[in-house]
Amino acid sequence: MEVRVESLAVARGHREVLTDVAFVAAPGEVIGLLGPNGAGKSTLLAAIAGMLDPARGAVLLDGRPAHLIPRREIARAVALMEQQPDRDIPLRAVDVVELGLLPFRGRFDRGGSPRDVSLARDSLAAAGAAHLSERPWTELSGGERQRVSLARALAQRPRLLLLDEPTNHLDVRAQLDTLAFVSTLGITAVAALHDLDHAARLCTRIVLLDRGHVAALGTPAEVLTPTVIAAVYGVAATVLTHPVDGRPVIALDAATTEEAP
Amino acid sequence: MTVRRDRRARALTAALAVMLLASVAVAVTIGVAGLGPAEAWRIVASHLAGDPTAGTADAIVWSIRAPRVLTAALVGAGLAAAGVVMQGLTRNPLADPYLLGLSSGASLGAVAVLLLGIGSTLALSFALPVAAFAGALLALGAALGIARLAGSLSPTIVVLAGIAVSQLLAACTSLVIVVTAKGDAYRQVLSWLLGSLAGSTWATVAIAGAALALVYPLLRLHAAPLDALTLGDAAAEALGISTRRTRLVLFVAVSLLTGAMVSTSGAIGFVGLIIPHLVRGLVGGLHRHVLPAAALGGAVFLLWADTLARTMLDPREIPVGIVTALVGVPVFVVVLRHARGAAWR
Repeated sequence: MEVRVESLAVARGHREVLTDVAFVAAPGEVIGLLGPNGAGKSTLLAAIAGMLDPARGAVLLDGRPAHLIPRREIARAVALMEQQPDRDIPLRAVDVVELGLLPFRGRFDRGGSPRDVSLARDSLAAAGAAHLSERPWTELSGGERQRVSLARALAQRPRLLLLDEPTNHLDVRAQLDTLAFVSTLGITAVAALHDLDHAARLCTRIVLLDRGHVAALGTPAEVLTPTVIAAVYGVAATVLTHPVDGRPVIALDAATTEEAP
Repeated sequence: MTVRRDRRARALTAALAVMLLASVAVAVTIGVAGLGPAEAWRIVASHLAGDPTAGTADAIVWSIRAPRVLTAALVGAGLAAAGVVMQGLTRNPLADPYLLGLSSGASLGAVAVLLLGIGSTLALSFALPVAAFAGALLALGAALGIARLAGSLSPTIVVLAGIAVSQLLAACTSLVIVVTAKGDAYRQVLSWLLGSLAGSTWATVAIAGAALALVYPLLRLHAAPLDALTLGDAAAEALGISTRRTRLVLFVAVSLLTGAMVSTSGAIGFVGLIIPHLVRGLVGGLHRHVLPAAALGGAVFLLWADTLARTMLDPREIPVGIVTALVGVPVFVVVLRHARGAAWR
């Protein structure tokens, strides 16, 4: 799916949290959303998912304004993996994944059919979580919950995957597994990330947000430069080139200002 | 495994249905009048066959006990289903129509109508549930409004706001009764605030039955959206659920159900809290499993609670809310202790 964000502005209350945001994600591209806390990453994801009405501009999904597409229809093409919830859900992993089939189900379909269950199992297997199927959500670790959430997103058979901090709360191994998995899917993806190295590893291109504006847009090597990092994050950084694959590796050195800009 | 869980939930539901039928059959034979079971069943059978006998025994069994047993079962089913849905909608294991003030609001509405003194019995039996519904809706609106004013719809804040509203409306109900009642005001206060099925007639069976027949299928249709809501609002939206519309529809439906039940029996507590927890411990959290089992379990529970209430301190009756609390709270404590992981924590 192609995502075209056109001079998008989104207001929450009286405050404009996104201003004049524009970029295009070509089909199959993995776009990283970077920026300090409060830069507008989650808001931008919600806008792309069609959950927010833009104040100006639009998000076009394959040419159609996202906020005008009915919820059920959009849910058949766009999956959102929200921030790792600490919430206790009184369901088992397979039940959570089966909810990903909801957008495809008729109004009077009660769910839980053998077909639904086997589809849910397939998604769990694809996300490498087949063994978690019958475990209660409350007993899963952070990394396991992340995998189950990913399986739920896959059950939606998405053509666009939106990920909000997919590596939060994960140990190093689980972080790499998650990123590797997303990059092998071949689905257009937009991921809000905190870790600059993760972005360099995962993304074809990066949208760097700063207080609701696009501060930089381009390939990881173009965006992740010492100048840009200092300007947006207020941190002095040394950017090295990875000797094997040539991607930028970011070493954060020191805060350049007393407080974050 | 999942198929096995489905089968297990179905088996429990079927067992509860059988238990309910048996309970109804047994409960109509129990009472202070000292009629034998055979006598009671003969009377019921004669009515079902359309050939009733006359007499005191007949009146006791058919006009007093049968409607009371059925009203208790219907109210229990309604309150338990309402509890399940409230808990799902607010993602709060403590939400139930009683705790969040819906029942107090419904009581106040019903008492207000009784005071207005609508002339004919027919108009009254219609106005009572409508006013109770309005009261329940008002109470819910107030609780959510206060929570929003306090800046958050978090589970804790919603429960605190609900308790405040509940206390306020209960106080208003008591005040109105004490100021205006001519006869035994305190008994009336108790039966509205703690619940009593002593006023059950075939009309209350019709009201509670109609409300359940109307609302329960709607709740059941929303089982999957309720499951999705447990994931959080953003996740539910991303799964194609309109969370605002779903909440609105279901809150109104639950208010209607609670209003109808309270108008027949006053505000009975704990059914909507305990039964859903018990059932979740047995069948897990999927609403398509929990809803039917909780409705049947609530019916059986309230039926026996009321049977105790009308026979325990013979010849005196005690408000059924006292029994649901006395039996329910210890059960609740046990459930909380043992339901780790399976239930909602």
